[in-house]
Amino acid sequence: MKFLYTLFFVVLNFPFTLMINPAGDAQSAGRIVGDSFERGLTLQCAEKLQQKLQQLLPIRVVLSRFPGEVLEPLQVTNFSNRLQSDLFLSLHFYESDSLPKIHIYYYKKNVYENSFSSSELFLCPLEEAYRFNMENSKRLASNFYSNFKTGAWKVQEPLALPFLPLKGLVAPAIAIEIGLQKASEWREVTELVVDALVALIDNEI
Amino acid sequence: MKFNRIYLIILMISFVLGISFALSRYLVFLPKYRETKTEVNLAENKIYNIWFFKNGWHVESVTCLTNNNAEEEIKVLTTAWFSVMQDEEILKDKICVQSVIIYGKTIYLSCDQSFLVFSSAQDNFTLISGLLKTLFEAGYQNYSIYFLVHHKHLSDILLDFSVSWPTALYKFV
Repeated sequence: MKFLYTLFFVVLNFPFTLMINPAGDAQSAGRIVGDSFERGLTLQCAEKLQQKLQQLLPIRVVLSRFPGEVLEPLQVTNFSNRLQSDLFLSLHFYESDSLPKIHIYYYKKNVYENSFSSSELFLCPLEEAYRFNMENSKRLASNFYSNFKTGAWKVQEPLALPFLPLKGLVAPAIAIEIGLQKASEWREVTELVVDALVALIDNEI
Repeated sequence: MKFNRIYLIILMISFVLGISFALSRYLVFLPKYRETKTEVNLAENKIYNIWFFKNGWHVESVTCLTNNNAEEEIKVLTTAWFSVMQDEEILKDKICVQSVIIYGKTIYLSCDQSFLVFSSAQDNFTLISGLLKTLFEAGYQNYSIYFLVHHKHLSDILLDFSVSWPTALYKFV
């Protein structure tokens, strides 16, 4: 009983909750990268990130799906909003003909918009939810970009765009889209992402 | 008798004036026949800047025959933009603009097929930014666009086309 209480206490008292959304699900295979599908690579990468980050930092890392799971529309969004995660990270892979690239995105669908104040309670349309943490998402994306040790990888500057997997999220949310020349490169890039995330989250805790 | 004649003349003049006044009033309120003039939109040649992103922003001037109809102008301009994209070998297939409807400050642009040819969301975004910038510079600054294919929302796994895209969005690139 005491153990369960301690476990419950520890789980609730993590200073930071990161939610990782590996693209695709059991029905949607995603893009083809070499001889693999995007959904398999993102899930492997997300599991590796979860394992490494929980070893290195006192944080809780939650994955949005498990192998074989079929996601309903907005399921991940609702999950993240209810969990009140501190950071949402969406992972995507594609096959790149040129140099391997890393793109960083955050959601924005209009040029002239102010962020919402979270102190007021009001009904908010789904596509406007990002405005609660618009500035935080921009700041985290910028810090995440500056934390990358590039090497052979070309990291693009963060880009604001109407990025569908980040739609409706209240938490600060960023997405990374990684262009791989070979499917096996995901291991190499995972190390880079771990380093950048550790530096980013360490700064936030 | 002279007195009576004067009265008679005054009476007749008053009668004639009264009748003419009543008739004129009646005539004044009659619906007037108006000549219907059909407005002829004279087509004219206009020079537009076609913007596209290919390792940086590039611009190409094209001359298009358009009239004062905004919907027609956008259709012509978008068709010209697709042609330039084909010439620059950014798009392989010929894409036709099916229809353009403007409702307030919202443009509904329907094409016959998707024009998202790139693998990454960023490349597709920069491609669309070229069209947004072209329309922005053509005078559609405060407008936003719904991209449609066969009059349904353009679907993509990464870019959100269920919302309208402001023409000023190209500034993010």
